Amino acid sequence: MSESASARGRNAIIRAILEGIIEPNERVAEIAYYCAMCGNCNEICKLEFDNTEIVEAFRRDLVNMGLTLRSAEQIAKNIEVEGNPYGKAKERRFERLRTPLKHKGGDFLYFVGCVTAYNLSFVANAAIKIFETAGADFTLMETEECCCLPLLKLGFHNLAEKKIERLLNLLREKGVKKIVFSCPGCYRAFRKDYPELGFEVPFELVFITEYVEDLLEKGKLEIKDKIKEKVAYHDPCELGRHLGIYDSPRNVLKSILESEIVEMERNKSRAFCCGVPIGLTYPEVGEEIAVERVKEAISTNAEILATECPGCIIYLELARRKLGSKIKVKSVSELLSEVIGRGK
Amino acid sequence: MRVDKDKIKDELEKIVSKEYVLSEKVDLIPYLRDHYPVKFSEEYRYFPDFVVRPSTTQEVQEIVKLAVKYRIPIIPRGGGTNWAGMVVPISGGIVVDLTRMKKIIEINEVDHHVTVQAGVTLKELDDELKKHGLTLGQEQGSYYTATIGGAIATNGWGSRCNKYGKIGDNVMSLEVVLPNGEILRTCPKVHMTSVPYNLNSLFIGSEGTLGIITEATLRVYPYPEKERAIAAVFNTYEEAKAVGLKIRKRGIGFSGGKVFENKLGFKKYGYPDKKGFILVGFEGTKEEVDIQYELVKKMIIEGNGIILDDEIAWEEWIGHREVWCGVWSDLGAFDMFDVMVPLDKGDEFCDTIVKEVLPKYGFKEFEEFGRHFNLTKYPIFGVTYGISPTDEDWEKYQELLREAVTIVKKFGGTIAACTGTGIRHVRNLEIEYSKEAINLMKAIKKLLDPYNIMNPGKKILVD
Repeated sequence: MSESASARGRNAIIRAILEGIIEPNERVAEIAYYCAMCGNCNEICKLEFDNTEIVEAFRRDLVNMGLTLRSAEQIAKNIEVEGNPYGKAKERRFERLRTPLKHKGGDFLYFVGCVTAYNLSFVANAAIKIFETAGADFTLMETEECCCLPLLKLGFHNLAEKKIERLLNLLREKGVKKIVFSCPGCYRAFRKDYPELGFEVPFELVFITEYVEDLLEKGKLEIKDKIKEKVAYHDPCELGRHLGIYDSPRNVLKSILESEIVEMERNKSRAFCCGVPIGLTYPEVGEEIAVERVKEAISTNAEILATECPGCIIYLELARRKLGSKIKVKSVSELLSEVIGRGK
Repeated sequence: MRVDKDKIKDELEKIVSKEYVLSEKVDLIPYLRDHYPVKFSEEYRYFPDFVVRPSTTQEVQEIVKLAVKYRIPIIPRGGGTNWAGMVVPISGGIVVDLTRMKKIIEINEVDHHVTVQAGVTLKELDDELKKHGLTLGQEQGSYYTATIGGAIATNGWGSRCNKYGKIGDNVMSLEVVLPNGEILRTCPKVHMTSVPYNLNSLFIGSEGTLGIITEATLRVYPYPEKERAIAAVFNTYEEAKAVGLKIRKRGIGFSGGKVFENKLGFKKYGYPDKKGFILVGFEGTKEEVDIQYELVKKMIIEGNGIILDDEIAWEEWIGHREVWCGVWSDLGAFDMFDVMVPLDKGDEFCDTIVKEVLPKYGFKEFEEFGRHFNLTKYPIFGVTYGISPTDEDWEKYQELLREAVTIVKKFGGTIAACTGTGIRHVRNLEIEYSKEAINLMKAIKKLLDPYNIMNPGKKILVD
């Protein structure tokens, strides 16, 4: 990709459109979607504006003009009809989950998220096992649908706002007070995007590693056996850079690892993206990014590449297979679920 | 010569494949400017006809031959972060975007040299070198974006130059596609030779006007065992400067540093009343770094300085590599003088500019970037000021540039230590240089580029 793939080039194009120098067309749409919105450019170039917000607004305006990519349109349609980006049947959302609807407790709601529910049931099952082991009194939402972050990122704001309003109303009607998330995208949507769009979010919002930190502190979980392998941690963009949560997953890892966490050179606010967000519209580019990230993990001699984001897991695993590497890609909660027992 | 644009496009597509020839207006927009503030009403005046993205020297050669055949201007482009308009396509033509030329051809761990294609960025090369226990040591403000070819062609400056020199100091050999399409190897890939005229020097800072650098062999250094920095605040800039000069005179082998003034005080570090600041970076073996650090620390304390936390010093030290990437160029509307005058005259020059010259044109210095100079063997003095985005201000800005060159000449200096000529200073060259020097430069340009197709209108104007 040429200079138009950089923040500088894209911003120049946006400016030229706003100043009437060029007309938006299909080529412009191709350029608009050629970005992972990972936000790393904001970190490298200390500016007073957020390039990812510019990209989001750019896509929103293009969608409103009827200019988007077919792949983006299909995702939007899938979310509109089936409540998930894949277009898989609504009623099959929780079919691969461990005891999904047995729990009717009132302490909190576990918001599973589309990627986890449809593609990575083991991540949800690990979370459920953790909750059950700690004796938590929780519930799932039978009518759970997409958090709509993909819609916002792809520029389908009108549809997103309708769906978000409905989702928030359902949660309110259910009497939910607290929500625990294991997907950083969903967590970000509730914590950052909904309030920014003017929605009231009257729930306590907790990320799974924060919740686990609390369980560990209160002694509700016992670590039966520590993990001996060397573990590198990958910061998901939406949890790290976008929400500033770097320590919580590391704290959980520290409690279950025998040795220190292996840090990749590009970590925390400078973490390299896994590629999944751009993979929605340009899968081959997403994969290329993931391969670079996995190579970085391999170069640390880590045996496990841990993260806490279902999207990251899918792309990192894809890259691992492509590279034929023996490194294991796992979620933090999955690692935890393998070594815990009931605490006090 | 009038040539059908479609025909040229076809021929370019035969050289680099369709994917790498850009001609749609939307794809050309990102190639209109660099950091230089072109006249605001003319921001969309200069479009290239094509952007071509070659990946080999042979492709570059074919592109140049085509340009010669049709007498089309060529604008070689690396990261596009220069401040002087060097890659603004003022005559249209073909922008040759070299950023696909990313091969690291050889790393010689014994001889400490590396051979790379021109489009590798400084950061990418350093990352690769680190795996071999080596470093290039060139941390420019555009570290993440600048390419090797661009850094050489602009005679770039890095913050660690006290230890590693400028990139130009480390050029061992170059491969250049000349404006007639021939491929020149300047000299053997050796650390020095006294046999030929120094052809490397001809292309260092040539701004793409004498040919396209396609490959470079550069001297590299052992990756330091230890890196450390020290930062301190002082009551005044003068106090900080006095300590800086003492450190320099003592002959300590620090790798870089700066002396800085913030007229608004260093509030962010909890010292609103302190206006002077010093930063010194060290790297090398653990033992030497520790000794150098302690020596400098003692000198700072004796000079009335308050030493800041190590983390602050480190952030300031590595912060230089992030002072500007590409996106800054979208912001425009400010400029900076990077003058080189004898160190004892730098402050007087800056004072003259800030107190007498800028107000005359209605411009104002950025107070948080007060007087400053780089505490290295290349002590660049800087003044940063704002320009409002109007044509009227832009005209004043041109007058200011001309007056500044006149003043810097009186101080025995040069107007641009490391940001080059481009179109920013091209019309003022005759102020700074003698008729003989200008004539020689013109003769060199004409000899190498008889049709004036290689980045015309930049660096030196030929008749």
